[in-house]
Amino acid sequence: MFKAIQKRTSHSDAESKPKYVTLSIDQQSYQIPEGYSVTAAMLSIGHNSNRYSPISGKKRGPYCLMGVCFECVCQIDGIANRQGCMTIVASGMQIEHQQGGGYIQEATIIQETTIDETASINLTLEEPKNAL
Amino acid sequence: MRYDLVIIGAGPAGMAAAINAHKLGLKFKILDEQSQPGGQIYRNIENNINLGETCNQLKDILGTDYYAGSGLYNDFKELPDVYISGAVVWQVEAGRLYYSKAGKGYSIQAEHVLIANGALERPFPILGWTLPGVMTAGSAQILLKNPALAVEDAVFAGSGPLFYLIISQYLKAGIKVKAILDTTPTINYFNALKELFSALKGTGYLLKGLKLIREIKASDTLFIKGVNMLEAHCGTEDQLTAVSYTVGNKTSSIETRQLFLHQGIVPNVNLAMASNCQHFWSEKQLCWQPQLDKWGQSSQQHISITGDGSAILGAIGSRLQGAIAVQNIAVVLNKISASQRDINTHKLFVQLKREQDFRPFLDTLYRPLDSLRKPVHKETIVCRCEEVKVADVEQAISNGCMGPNQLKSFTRAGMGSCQGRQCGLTISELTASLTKQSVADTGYYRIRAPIKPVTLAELASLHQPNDVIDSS
Repeated sequence: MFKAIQKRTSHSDAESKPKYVTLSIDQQSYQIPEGYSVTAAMLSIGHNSNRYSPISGKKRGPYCLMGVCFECVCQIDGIANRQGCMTIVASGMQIEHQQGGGYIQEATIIQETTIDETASINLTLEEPKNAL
Repeated sequence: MRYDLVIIGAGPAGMAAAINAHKLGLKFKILDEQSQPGGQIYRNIENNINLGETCNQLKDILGTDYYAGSGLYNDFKELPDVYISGAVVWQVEAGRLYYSKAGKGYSIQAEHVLIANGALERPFPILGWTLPGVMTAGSAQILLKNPALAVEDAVFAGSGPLFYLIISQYLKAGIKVKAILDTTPTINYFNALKELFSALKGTGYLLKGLKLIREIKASDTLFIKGVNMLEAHCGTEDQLTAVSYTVGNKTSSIETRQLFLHQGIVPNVNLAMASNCQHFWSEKQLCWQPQLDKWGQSSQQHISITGDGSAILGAIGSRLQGAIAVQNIAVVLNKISASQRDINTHKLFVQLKREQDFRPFLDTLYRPLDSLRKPVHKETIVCRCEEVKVADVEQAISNGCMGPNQLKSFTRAGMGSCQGRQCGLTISELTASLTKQSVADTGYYRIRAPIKPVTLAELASLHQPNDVIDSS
């Protein structure tokens, strides 16, 4: 299991204690130091798997930690397929293991974000002009 | 607002480019996928500079090459209002590029784009490499730099300068390493001797490398040389429990719950390929590289490429290249004369040559074994996202599939969310040997924008296409 390395500072109480954020991982509450990525948070509590493969259903865990492999994708605040290694923890964040490609219910969440109709009309009008 | 230049990536090349662009008076922005500048090599440099002041142990673990980035970072952070963090670029076209940040899409106009998006670790396809508990050695280092996490009793398997560096960092941190399975082929030591003469100009690097290996060997960690086959095993659960390895014809096994793999780094070419920049197969570095002139100008007039995203040269080389590329871009944009550029870059090229002279030695010494690049066991997963195995690729080829791009339709290889980054090289090399063509003739996947997954919400939020929304 991944653990924080014990740092020996030159003057012991000079090192400011890290601040923590409270978040949930699979509905369980945890205190995680600020600045951790979601993947680092999961590894630090002993979860080295964050999703089930959409192909075989087998457990998968993080691999590259630098945003390339998309193995660490999980569901964050209701939105599936978010890269844990590229997302910094925040207070109140809800992190969950992802099943396959993510549930279809995520589509309704996307609808709730701010898309107004004029936006999509503008986009279709402007698009041809900007195309190569 | 139309910028002269947009730089993509804030590693050593991108930061050096930005500092030079500022000196030359260019109107520019620098987009970075990460939350802080530094790239992979100088990841979390800001915090670690501060921590290093009170903690000599951390300075010792991360080492002088890491802290060599402090000066560059300090100069970079003085630049006024140019850095945009968390910006994922997914499309570049003439005059404009598109990116997402925090769930919103943005477009930004630029005369010229400098791609400095760095490298990624070469795929290491072995049986069982998709098991939880198997990660890259690069990931071990990333977790060490931020937030200083490490795992006891891991097995490290592979080869290359970064491989030994990470192991030595673990050992300095007092983390017990269970075993080192070195896959450097013995023959490479003889082949590399031919390159030794030019490598002597980089004596500093040679001595550093020797010191690293000496330190690792002095640590009494189990060190096994000449490993030519690896396999990751699990029990009833999907979790790594053991690694088996072969030396000569003899196979042995070690129990472990954590395996770190590494066999070198290669340019991350997806963005450049999706932007139609010409690429070629480098037989020396066994990877695709963009076709560039000595300034980093690509086959697309509006795109230059620099740093390890162009060819692997390391942090110092990348810094020099980043600075050189921007001097030339200033000429392309009619900001300075060609003769001024030549004066400005003369010294940089002299320094760059030293880095370039040393590289063939490393390329030869750490050239990964054929069997670890082109897996032979039929059950080995090649494309991790779509779980395409060697057997599937062989079947497709025997059914008449001619190359990587067709292989997508035959098997879905390369069509998962990583968009071929993890399997592309393996597929190129494997297909080439199965179809008995050269890798150059076999080619690569055709990469198309968007090169990162983009949500409908991000697309829809591009509602003011002619306005740059500065999101820094």
